Amino acid sequence: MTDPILEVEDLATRFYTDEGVVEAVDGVSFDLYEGETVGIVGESGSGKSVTAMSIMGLIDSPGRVEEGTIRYRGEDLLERSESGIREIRGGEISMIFQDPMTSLNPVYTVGEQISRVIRQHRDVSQSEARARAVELMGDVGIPEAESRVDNYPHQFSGGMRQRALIAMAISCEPEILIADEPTTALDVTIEAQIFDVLEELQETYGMSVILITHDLGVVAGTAERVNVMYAGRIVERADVDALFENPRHPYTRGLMRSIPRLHGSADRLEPIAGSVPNPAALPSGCSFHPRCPHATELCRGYDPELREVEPGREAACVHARGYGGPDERATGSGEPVAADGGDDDE
Amino acid sequence: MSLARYTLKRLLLAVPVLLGASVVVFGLVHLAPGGPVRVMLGPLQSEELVEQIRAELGLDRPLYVQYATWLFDAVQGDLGTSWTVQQGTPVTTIIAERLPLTVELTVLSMIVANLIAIPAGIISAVRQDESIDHAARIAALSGISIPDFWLGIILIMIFAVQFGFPWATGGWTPPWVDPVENLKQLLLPVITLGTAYSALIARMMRSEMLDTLSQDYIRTAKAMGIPSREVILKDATKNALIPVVTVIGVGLGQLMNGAILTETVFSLPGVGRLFIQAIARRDYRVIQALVLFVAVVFVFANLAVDVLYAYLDPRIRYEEGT
Amino acid sequence: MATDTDTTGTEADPSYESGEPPGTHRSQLEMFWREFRRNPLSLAGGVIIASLVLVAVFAPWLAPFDPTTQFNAPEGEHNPLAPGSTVIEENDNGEVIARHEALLGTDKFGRDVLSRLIFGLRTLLTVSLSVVLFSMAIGVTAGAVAGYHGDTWIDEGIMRFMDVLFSFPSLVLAIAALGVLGVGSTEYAGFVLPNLVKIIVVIGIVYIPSFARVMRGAVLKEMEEDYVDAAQSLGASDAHILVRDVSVNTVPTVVVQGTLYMGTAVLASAALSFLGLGIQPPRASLGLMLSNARSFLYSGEWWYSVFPGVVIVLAILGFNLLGDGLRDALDPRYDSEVSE
Repeated sequence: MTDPILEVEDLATRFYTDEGVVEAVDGVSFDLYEGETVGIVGESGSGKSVTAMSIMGLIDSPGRVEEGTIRYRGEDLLERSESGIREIRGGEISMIFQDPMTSLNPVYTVGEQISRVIRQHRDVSQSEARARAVELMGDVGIPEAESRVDNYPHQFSGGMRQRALIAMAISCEPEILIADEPTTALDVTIEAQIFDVLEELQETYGMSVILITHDLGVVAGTAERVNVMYAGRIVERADVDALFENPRHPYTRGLMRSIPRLHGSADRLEPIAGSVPNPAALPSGCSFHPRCPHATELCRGYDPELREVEPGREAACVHARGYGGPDERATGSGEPVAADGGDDDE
Repeated sequence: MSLARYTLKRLLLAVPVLLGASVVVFGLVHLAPGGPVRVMLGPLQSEELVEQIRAELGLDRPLYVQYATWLFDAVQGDLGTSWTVQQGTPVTTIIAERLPLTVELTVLSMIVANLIAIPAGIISAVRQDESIDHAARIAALSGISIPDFWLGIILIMIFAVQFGFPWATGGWTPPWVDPVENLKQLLLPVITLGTAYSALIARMMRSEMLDTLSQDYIRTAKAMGIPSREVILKDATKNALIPVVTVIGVGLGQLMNGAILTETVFSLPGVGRLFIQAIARRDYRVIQALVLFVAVVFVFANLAVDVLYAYLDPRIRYEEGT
Repeated sequence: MATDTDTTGTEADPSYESGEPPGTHRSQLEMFWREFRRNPLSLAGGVIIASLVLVAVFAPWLAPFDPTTQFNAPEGEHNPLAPGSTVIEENDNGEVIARHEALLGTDKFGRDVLSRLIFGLRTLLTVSLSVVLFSMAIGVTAGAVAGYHGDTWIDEGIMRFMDVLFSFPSLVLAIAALGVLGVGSTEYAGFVLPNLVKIIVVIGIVYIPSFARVMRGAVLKEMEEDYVDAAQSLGASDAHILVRDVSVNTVPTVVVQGTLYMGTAVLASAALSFLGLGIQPPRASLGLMLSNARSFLYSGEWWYSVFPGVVIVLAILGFNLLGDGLRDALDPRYDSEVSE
């Protein structure tokens, strides 16, 4: 197995606000291998976007990346200088965001904005950059790119703007593309088109993709491995099929149950009780326990780490089969702990 | 609609406004109790004299006839003859003599003010809440709170009296005759006139810059690896400047007001001081002409600013969607 | 570990609500007040204005002397006298009745500067407030009418008229009008127009368009929301709701606008007085004091030009700080939140 192209280890990003310290990202670790698509799934407030921004080095005061390492091709990005990170941004790791309507500068043409990114990272002339911009716009499926390159953003629809932003992001053939809710603001039909474009580009350029979303349906169709985030932590990690077949963490299960499915029984939708906790005042013990139908006394006091519960699967729940939590004989109506023993630490 | 159509539309809209303004101007003078002649002669002269002069000046004709004649002449550039300021001289000549000074004063003030205010606003926004921001904000706040005529007086007191600089003695040497002398004469007046205007622009620039810097497209530029300085100067500033341009139109009115006061304080022979003199001597033709002139300039300046705004913002220029 | 309650079951723990900051049930007014208090500048503005208003209201008790009383200078000296000088009060026969101290000196007529400052401030604030109230009243009414009859000739007519008013820089029109109509009270076909009223109208008239535009915008927006056909005649209850909704939406903006205009009005009325077109002597007028001070610039009587100016600056500064603070409190700046 080759080394991962990106290794995030124990990342912690905190925001110092008037209301207290917010631990937006609280010990997150994951890997990204070359050519694969990894999903990060979670609701608003789970820390998924902050994770991405931390990787890109875009965290501004009052936030700070305080702990952990972000290893890109073996080198810790957090050790790089500001100008060093700028080289990486857009050149080797690119990001596209959720709001195509407002993410383009209204007073410059789309062509100018794409060309300028190209010239930032590559030593080419203005006309060469412009020609490349036209090419890229064609690649992402913008019709009549030759003439539209001189149009202003307000002359494009939302879907077209997102394509332009994708063109901008891949213009320098980055190794990694981070897509933060790229289609949340778009219609479902446009959404499918955007993902087609992304898939095509991924193949052409051999990019690795981190897809951030709250939409399980999107993840099911595009990612190979999935991280589920809750309250600043990863609470479950698995290959996409395994995750959907048999989610181990109660939160993941709750997510699955709360979305409608085309097949399967027409049971009632069950939203997860309660709401996302205030990041400045997280619950004690397991962050999810106030909303968890399987929570026990143990969960109130013990904060479970992400741990392998099966080869290739990890979960952060004492009641997940195979977890081997501190109290094997869990009381209450929890899932029975695996009989084939786990560790007996803590 | 295209820029040309927009300009035309605004021009057409300006016509009734200007007509209305001319009515106001005309009505103003003729509304005075006793009529303009009484205003001119003052309350002490006899009624017969008033009647006699009225007939002489054609002021006994019906009002609408007078208005039409006046307007007709005015459009052709004939604003009548001065009665008391400089008897017998055409009003247009009197204004033309004094106009260059006022124009120089106003334009210089505008340029200097913007040269200071725009960078100050940008820096203030970029370094929000740091000490330089606080200092700049306090300076700007003071700038808009100090009346220009008082500032002029204080400046005279400090520089002319305490330090004995023989500036601010009144009079004007055109820059093409003696640029150094000209600068000396205008230094204090430009500071006086430009301060409030500069403060206004700086505050606006800061506010717009802060707003722009929080926009998503700034995040995009940073995410693509563009250096901060370029993001501020290219991406943000161009957006922030657009609304600031409109403030220039508003500020022009302020400058005109200020010019009157500044010229009075520094005894500069410009159009502002002429206005005050005409008021004092009740030369109604001059008063009428000046107020009309000011209104016309102001209306056209605002129009130009609107057109400029439409030109700068591509969202207005190109109305097509996809 | 706590062992009291049972945490099993499917009920969510209600003590962990969503990420809203505590106390979101406070009324809008409380939130606004809290935001306002946090800003030291707006508090400073409030304090300044409150103090000035108090001084103005209690002028007759606070001023050491009557502002129009002319004192005589001691032997060998002449008015204007420096701050702290002794002044002499004489009766009609020229005999000395008393000696007083003029804390801030006297003007060229022997009148106590401090007293004139206090009364001058009173006049200034009164005039400015009247100006703003006048233009607000007319502007808001005109704007409301225009908005209600949106896009009809009534609307067009009113707004065109506003444009005409707006085509004059504020002082130019005021100066011309006062210059032409004359200062002091004006007789008008047997009807006397007091000087104060003339000043108020002449300054205030140029501020009307701003209030009108704000009001018109708000009314139009409101009409769009609730009524499909604006030409429909409204039932009494509908009109009542319209008025209430519009008021709630516009009162803050109008108040902020009004406060900021107070600063402008102070400036305008001081400027007019400076030019001799405003409050007439012997009434105390800060602008006129400054104008008189000009003849004493080179002879060193600095107090004459400094003090009145300082008072004017304080007033304008106070209103600006207050207005800024109000505006910021009503429309909190976007601060960097914990983004998702």
